[in-house]
Amino acid sequence: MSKKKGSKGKGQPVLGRAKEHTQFLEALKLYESKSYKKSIKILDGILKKDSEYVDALALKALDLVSLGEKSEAQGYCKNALSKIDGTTASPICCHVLGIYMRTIKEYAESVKWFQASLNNGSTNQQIYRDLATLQSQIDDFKGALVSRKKYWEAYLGYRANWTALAIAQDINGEHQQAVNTLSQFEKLVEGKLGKAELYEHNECLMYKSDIMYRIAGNNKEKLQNVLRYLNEIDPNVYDKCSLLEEQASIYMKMGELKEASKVYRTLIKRNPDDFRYYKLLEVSLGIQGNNTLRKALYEKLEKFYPRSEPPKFIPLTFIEDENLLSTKLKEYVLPQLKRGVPAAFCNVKLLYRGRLSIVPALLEKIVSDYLVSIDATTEPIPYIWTCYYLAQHFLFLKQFQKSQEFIDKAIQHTPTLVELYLFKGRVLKHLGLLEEAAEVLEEGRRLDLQDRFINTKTVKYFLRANNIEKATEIASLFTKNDDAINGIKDLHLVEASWFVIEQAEAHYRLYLLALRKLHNLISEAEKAENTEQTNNEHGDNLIHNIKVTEWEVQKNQGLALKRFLAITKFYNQFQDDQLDFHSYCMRKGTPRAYLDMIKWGKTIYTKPMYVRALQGSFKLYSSLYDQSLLEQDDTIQTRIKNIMKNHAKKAKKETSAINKRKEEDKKHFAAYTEAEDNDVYGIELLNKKMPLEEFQIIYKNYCQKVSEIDKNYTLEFEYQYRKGKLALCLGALSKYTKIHGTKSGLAGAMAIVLLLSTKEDAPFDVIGKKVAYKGCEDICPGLPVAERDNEHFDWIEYYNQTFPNHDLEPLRFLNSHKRLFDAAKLKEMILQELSNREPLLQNYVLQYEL
Amino acid sequence: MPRDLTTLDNVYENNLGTLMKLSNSVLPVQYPESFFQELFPKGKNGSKDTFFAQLGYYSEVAVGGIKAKLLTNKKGEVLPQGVYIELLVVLEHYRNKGIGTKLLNYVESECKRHFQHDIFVHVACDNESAIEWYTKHGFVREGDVLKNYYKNTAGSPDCFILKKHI
Repeated sequence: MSKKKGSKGKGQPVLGRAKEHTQFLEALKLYESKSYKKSIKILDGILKKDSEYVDALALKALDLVSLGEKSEAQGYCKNALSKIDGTTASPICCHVLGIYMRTIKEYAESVKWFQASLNNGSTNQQIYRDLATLQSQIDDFKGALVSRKKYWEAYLGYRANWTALAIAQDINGEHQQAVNTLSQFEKLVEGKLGKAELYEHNECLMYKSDIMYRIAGNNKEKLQNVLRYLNEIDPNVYDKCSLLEEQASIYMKMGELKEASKVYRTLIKRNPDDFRYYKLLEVSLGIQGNNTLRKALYEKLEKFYPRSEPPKFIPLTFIEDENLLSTKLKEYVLPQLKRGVPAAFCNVKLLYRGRLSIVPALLEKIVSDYLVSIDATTEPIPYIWTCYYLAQHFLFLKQFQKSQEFIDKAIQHTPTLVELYLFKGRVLKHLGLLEEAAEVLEEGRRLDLQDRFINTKTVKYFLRANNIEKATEIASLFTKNDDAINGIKDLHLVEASWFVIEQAEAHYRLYLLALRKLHNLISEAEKAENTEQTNNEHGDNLIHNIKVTEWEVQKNQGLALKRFLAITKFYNQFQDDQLDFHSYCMRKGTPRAYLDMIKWGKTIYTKPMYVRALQGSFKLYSSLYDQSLLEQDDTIQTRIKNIMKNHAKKAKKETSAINKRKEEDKKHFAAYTEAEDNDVYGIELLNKKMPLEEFQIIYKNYCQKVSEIDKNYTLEFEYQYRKGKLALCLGALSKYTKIHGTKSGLAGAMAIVLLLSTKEDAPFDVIGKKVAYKGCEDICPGLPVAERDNEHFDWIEYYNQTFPNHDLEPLRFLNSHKRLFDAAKLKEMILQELSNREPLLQNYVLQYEL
Repeated sequence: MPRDLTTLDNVYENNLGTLMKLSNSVLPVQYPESFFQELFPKGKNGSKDTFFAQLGYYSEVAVGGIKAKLLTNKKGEVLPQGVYIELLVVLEHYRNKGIGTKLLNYVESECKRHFQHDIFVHVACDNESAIEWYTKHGFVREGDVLKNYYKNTAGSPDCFILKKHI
């Protein structure tokens, strides 16, 4: 990151401040040479005489932030800003503020001040480069184009500026101009390239051809042009693979299939393991529909490339004749089992999924027969891997018993093979035996403590089994635990999302369990209170249990939220990490990679892990919100307080014991250093006044970037529902039905919940209710809206009748709004639905949702 | 030349669990964890004995192991008495593939390095296959049956002493 500033002394000195101004410039120089403390010393001198001098205030803020004094810096910056009217400050001051804002990652503000510096008369052209970088970071590519152009005009002698300009033009849709820019530069450097520049040059050439290809569309003449260009640059291009791929797809577009097929054959020769080329070769040969020809093609290719996967595998996906298929499968799978390839099953899993009706049965016979034919002692290696294969086979078919038999057989034969334990754990997991599964993995892990793969897997299994302590202990074997008692800090530092999210979910589950326990204890205590049988040992115990459980609830709730939010912080970091590349890629001359990054950057907040964190935190935020709506007397806190009234002494003792433990345990849970964050348990997060607004902060990133098709509309529905915006719920429902149709159970469930909510009072507003009521009818024709106020209408029954192939998901959705329905009946339906699901899911729903 | 399927490698602290697993799944006797941990003595109280240990692999799967100890004479004599094989196991399905022989050869070469001529081993009286194997490899019975030698065992508690002179 360049912090260069060339405009020293060019700003207008304010009248009567000539001396201060010279001193200020001196301080600025000291800042540039990173002597922040000396710089501050001079600034303090200036400010003593003239506390209104904003330039000095701004620079002091920048010095302080460079020293890491963030909060103090913020004070000075605020002070400076309060003295500036709009952006009318000296160019240097604006520039300093721009750099300050960039340092504290307020990129939009930074853009504003850099811009202001230029508007106010700065002649420092360097600013344009920094400005362009920041504009790209905040997706202001239009602005970036202007800045890139200005900078390019000022410094025509650098390749980076030409590339940067072309990229900016390309992103803004000015493709032809981009091509022109690149062509111009090509001409300029012709014959003058040094060896070091050749790679950069080749990237730019390929980039230009990419843009030309995109402009060409389906226009034959233009495509011909691109082709000519590709031939021209061929000797100078290193990335032959992309060149050939582009060539081939141009031929395809022009309808010159024969030429295309030649190129694809060349590509296959270069890399005979890429499945894509084979598919495209088929297309270019025009034989996708003809299985006989396809088979012949692959038989031939197999001879050419006997060690490659695709020619062997692809025929298995289309051969219809059962006998032939069986032979081919045998030829494919058995050699792998003989060699002892652990991935034999994974290699054919795609066939299991794609051809469920035929492949599994055939392979079951083939592999079982093979197992019978071999001897466990003379051929031990094929024997174990065949057992392993069959165990996987039966797990896929959800025949857990058989799967277990085979994996046990394998373990008994060779108890030192770690893969077998991994798999046995998986079977147990599907059977819902989470603790047992974790123990099996632990057994496998002990065989080789260096094996990082099983280490992480074991950690994950223990987390799933809610054993956070053990999981953390095992994970810490591989982390850097310099100043910490365990690896939690390090795992946050290295952004180990898999661990943090699993931990978050484990804490969430523990929170639910503790909450239920707490409710039971309170009821018990209240009952005892009424019969006045509390002043005995049993009563004391109860008080103790309530206090301990209350803390368990709070701790797990807070930590769950803390961890979910940690995930969102990782993603903010990914977002910020892009900043450097807006200038780096230009300098290095890698425009294609840069564009890939931009594309990726747009999807960061829609990645599954982020969504998972969103969903998890939403559950917590919405329950916090629901609690905030309760009458004061009904809250758990009040109920506990009432119970404690009669046991003040005991309660006080318990509280202080818990507080002591809180302090002691802190080091086991801290995810950040104390300076960064002292809310170890996330209690402050729980006490935020407006939980939904907190959620909005992380949710809006997702909403801005997610495409309409991928958006999670249930989440949107639930969020707007909590916000009381029924009209927006309707919007979510409408979008959902557009994608999934009105026949989907979830659409029905959402519509029913929405409809029934229109008769409720707060927090829904009147207009929203009317819109939603009207809209339900429009979006879901057939929904008996007239029955809304009919107390006796059985909505569950209605749902049952209308959506006969009910999935579990909609039922769980209805269950989360069970106050609207006959909860007992709903529960019964869910139980019935669950009865033919696998035990893992059964247990989860039973334990945490019903 | 075809790749040799059987190989030997050291026992490391990290894969000690493998040796333990092998021992516990092959032998009727269950040794405590400390029996294996003594290969990697820790602190002042750690054992000062010299051990020879190896794991045997078949096609890169650990299937056998050996642990032997250099016997020193306690009566203050300078010369040690020999090498005692405390543990020698190969998984049932991987026998007769030369792994045990390789493990024994390793210990024999260690004997030579330490100028030893005698190797001892205890074998349970009912463990016929082992007795046969040791006899085949040049061991001979020495002395009488030791009664109630094994404590934590599912098999016979009595054992023979076998000895090989090299």
